[in-house]
Amino acid sequence: MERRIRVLVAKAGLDGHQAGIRLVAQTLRDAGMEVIYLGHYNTVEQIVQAALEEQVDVVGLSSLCGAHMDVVPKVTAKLREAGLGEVVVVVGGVIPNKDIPALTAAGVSRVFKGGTPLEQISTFITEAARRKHAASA
Amino acid sequence: MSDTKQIRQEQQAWLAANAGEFKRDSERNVKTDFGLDIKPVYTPVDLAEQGFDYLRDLAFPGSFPYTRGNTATMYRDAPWRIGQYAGFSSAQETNKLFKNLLAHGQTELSLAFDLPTQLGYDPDHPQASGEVGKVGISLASLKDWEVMFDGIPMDQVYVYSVSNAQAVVTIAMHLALARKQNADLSKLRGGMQNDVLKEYIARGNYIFPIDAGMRLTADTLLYCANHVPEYWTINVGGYHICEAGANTVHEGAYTLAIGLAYLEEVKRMGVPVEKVASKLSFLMTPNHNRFFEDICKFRACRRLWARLLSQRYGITDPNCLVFRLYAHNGGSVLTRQAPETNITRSAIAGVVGALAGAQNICLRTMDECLGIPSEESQVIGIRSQQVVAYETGITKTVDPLGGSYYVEWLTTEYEKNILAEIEKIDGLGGMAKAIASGYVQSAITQDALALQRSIDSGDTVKIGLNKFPVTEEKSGKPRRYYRVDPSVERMRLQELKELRESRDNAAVASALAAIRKSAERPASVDNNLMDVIVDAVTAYATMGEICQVLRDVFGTYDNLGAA
Repeated sequence: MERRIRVLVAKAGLDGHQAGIRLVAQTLRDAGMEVIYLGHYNTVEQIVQAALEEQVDVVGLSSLCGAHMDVVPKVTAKLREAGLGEVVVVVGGVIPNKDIPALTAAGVSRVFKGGTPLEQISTFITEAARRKHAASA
Repeated sequence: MSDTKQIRQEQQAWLAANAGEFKRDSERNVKTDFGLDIKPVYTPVDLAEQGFDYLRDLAFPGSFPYTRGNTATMYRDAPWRIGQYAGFSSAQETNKLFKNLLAHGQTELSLAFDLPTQLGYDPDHPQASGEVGKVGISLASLKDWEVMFDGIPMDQVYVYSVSNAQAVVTIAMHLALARKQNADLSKLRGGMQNDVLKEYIARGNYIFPIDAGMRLTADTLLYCANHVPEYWTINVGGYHICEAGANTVHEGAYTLAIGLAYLEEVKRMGVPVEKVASKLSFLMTPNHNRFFEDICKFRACRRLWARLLSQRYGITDPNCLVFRLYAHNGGSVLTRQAPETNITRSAIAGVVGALAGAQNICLRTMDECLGIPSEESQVIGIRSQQVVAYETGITKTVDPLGGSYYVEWLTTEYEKNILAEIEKIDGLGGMAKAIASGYVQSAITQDALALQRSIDSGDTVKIGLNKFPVTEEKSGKPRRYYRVDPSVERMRLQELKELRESRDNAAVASALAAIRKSAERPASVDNNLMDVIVDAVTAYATMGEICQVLRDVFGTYDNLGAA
C-alpha cells in the first residue's frame, strides 16, 4: 500500500493572498494527500519547524507580493540544515520568469506560474513525492 | 401598443417556428456564475412576470431608489474619477509618479502601501525584512506623507488610500498633512478603504481581533463625520471578496452586509445611523467577463442599499442613501500569457463601470500578473478610461441601458438573490458573527473551487491561457515591469533613524501613553481613539509605534489555519 503523500502548504512573510493556496490544498486533499495548511503570516522558521514535526514529503510555498527571492532560498537552506534536503519544494504565485533559474538553483523543484491548472500541480506533486518515497525506501 | 398577452402568444409562435434551433439550444448551459439560467431573449413579458414597476423600481436618476444613478445628470456633468491604484517603494519616487499620473489626466490618487505599512510595522521591524517597498509605498510617519505630497495640494486632488487594519493611523496622517497644507477640512475630498471585515475573509491583511477592529472602525466613522464630511471613510471591499473567488451574488451580499455591520456598530454606541451613513462607500468589481452581470449587480446594489437603509433605519436623506461606487476590475481575470490582451480586458471593464454609473474607476494594468504596475502600464490604464469617458459617447445620457428587458430582468434577479443571502447573514447574527462562525469563508471557498474548475476545464474562457493558448516561447521578449530598487530598505532604515533623532521624543512618548490609556478604556463617543492618534502622528510617532501600543492592548487576530 502506497504511503500517503504529506504536503505542507504555507506562505511566509506578510503576503495575505490565500485564495490560491486554499484551492491547491483542497485539490491535493481531493487527490488523497495529507495536507498541513499553515496559511499565511508564517516565519521561515515556523515553516521549517512544521515540516520537521509533520514529516512532510513536500513543501508548497506561495508568494504574490514580491518577497519570493528573500523567502524561498531561506526556506530551502533551512530545510537542508534541518536534514530535510530530500523534501520536494514547489512554489506558486506571482513569480517573474527572470527569477526562476535562481529559485531552481536554490533547490525549488518547480515554479507553478499563474494560470497553471490545479490538476497539473497535483500530478507533479504526486510524481515528485513518489520518487522521493522510492529513493528513501 | 402590444400588450403582454399578445406578446406571449407571438412568443409561442416564434418558439414553434424555430423549434430546431431551440432543440439544439436546450443543450447549452448558459448561466450566470451563481447558477441562474439565461434565456436566449428577454421581452416585456419577463418584466411583467417580475411585477416590474417603473416608478417604484427605477424612477429617475438622483431619486429614490437610485437604480438609474446617484445624481440627476451623472456624467453629462463630469465623468467618473480616474483613480489608478499606484505607488512605488519610496515616498520620493511615488511623488514623481503621482505628478506624472496627474499630468496624464488621472483625477484621483489611489495610494498603494507596502505590506509592513499595511500591517502596522515600521521598516526596521523583524517582520518587515525583505518586504519594504515591495508592493507599494513605505510610509512610516507624517514626514513620509509630507515628502509624498510635496507639491501636490491635497485640497485640489482627491486622495484615497488602501489601508485597513491600521486605517486609524493612516486617516490621522492624511488629515494631519491636510491641516499642515492649510486645506479646509470641511471641503476635503478623499477616502480610505478602512474595511477590516473583508480582511478576515478575503484579503488577509488583518491585525487585531474582530471586536477591536470594529471599535476602531466606529471611531473613524464618528471622527470623520465630525471633521471631514466629504471624506469616504470606508470603502467596503467587495472587490476582494470577488477576487477571493466569490460569485457575483455573494460579492454583492457580503459587501452590503459588511456595510450594515459597520452601521450597527455605531448604533450600538448610541449614535443614530444617519450621522455616519453618508461616510460609507463600496469597492466592487466591473469585470469584462461578466459584462451584463456586473452592470446589473451594481444597479441592484444601488437600489437594494437605498431600500435597506430606508426600511431598516427610516433614513430619507439622499446623502445617506446613495451607493457610492468605486469600480475596480479584478487582477485575477487577467492572464500572464499574452499580457497585451489584458489591456483589452481592462478597457472593456472600464465600459462596464461607466454603463453601471460608478463614481470612480480603476483598471488593472497589463503587467498585473508579473509585478506591481509600471508607470507605462498605468498610463495605458488612464488612457483606456479617457477613451471610454471622452470618445465612446456613453456619457451622453444617464443609465443608457435602463429599460433593456435583459438588464432590468437581471437587475431584479440580482436584487432578489443578494437580499436572500443578506437575510442569511442576518440569521447568523450579522456579518461579524457570520465571519466568526466560518460561514462566509466556506461559501467563498466553494465558489472559488467551482470557478477554478471551470477555468481548468475551459468552460470559463481565458484567451491565451485555455483557448488559443500562447506558450512562453511565443510570448515574445521579456516584458518590462517595475523592479523594486533593493537599496530602498536600507534607505528607509536610515530615514527612520534620522526621524527618531530629530523629533521631540518626549512628546511622542506622551502621545503613545495617551493612546494606550484611551485604548484600555471601553469604547465610547467620548473616548475616540482618533483624537489621541492624530496628536501622536502630528508629533511624528510612527505607524509601527502606534500599532504596537494597539497590539499590546487589543492583541492580534488568530486565524488558526482555516482552509
